[in-house]
Amino acid sequence: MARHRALQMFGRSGNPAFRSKAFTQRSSDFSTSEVMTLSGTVNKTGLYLLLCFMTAAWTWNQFYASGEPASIMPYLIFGLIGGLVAALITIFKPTAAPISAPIYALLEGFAIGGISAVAEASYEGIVIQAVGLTFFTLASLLMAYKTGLIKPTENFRLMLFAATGGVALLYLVNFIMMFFGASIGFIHSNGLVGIGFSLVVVAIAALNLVLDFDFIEQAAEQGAPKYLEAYGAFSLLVTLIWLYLEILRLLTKLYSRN
Amino acid sequence: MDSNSLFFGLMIIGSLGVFFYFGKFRASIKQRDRSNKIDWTQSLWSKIRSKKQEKDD
Repeated sequence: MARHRALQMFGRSGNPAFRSKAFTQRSSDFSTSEVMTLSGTVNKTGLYLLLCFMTAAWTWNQFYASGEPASIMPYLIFGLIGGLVAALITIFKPTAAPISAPIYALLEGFAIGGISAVAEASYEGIVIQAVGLTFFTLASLLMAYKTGLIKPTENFRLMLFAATGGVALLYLVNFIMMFFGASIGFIHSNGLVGIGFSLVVVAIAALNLVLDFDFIEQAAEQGAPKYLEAYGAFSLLVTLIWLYLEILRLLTKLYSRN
Repeated sequence: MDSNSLFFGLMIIGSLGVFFYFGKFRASIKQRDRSNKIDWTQSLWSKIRSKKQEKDD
C-alpha cells in the first residue's frame, strides 16, 4: 500500500500535481491489469458522466413534476455539500478515487439537475445549448491537445493555476459578501463587463481541460497505478462540470439581455 | 423536435463520439517528444519555490 501513497493534489479544478513515486513507477512494477491506460480512463469518464446524468435527470423530473423550485432544494443542497465532501476525499486520498469519484458524480448530478431545470424553466432550450457547447469544447480541445496544437508547459500550468485561483478567490469573496446582503456586481451582471468576465472564466475552465489531458496522457505513458484512471476521470469530470456551469451562466446572461 | 434541439443534440453526439474514439489514442509525437513538458512528478509549490530560489541566487 505504501507505493500507493503517492500523490499530492493541488489546485481548484482537481488538476493534480504529482510529487512522488506513483507517477514515476514504471509499468514493469505492476502487472498489466494494475496499470493505468488511456482507454480505461476514457471509459471511466463515460461511466461517471452517465452516473451524473442519471441523478441530474432525477432532480430534473422532480422539478417538472412539482413545478416548484422549492421542491428540489433538498436535492440541490445535498448534492452540493455531498459532492464537495466526495471531491475533497478524492483529492486528498487519490487511492480512494475508484469509490469516491463515482459517488461524487452521482451527488453532483443532483445539484446540476436542479440548477439546469431552473435555468430551463426561465429560458427554454438553454440547457441543451450549454451541454452541447461543453462537449464541443471538450472534443475540440482534445483534438488540439492530441495533435500538438496546444502544448502545455510549466509556465502554462503556472499561469492557469494563478487564473483559476483568482477566480476561486473572487467567488469566495462574493459568497461571503452574500451573507451580508451584498455581492460583486459584475459576476452576475448581464452588461458587457459581466459577459466579458464570464467569457474569461469559460476560457480558464476550458484550458484546465488541457491540463487534465496532459496529466492523463503522461500518467498512462509512464504506467501509473490503476487507481489513477479513476482519478484522471474525476479530474476531467470536475473541470467539465465547472465548464458547463460557467457556460450556462454566460448563456443566461445573454438570454436575459433580450 | 425543434432546430435548436436537433443542432445541439447532434453536436453532443458528435463531440462525445470524438472524445470516446480519439481519447483512447496516444497524443502525437510532436506533443510527446518535447523538452518543455510539464513535470507532473513535482508539485507546483516546489516548482514555485525552486524558481524563487533561482531568482534569489
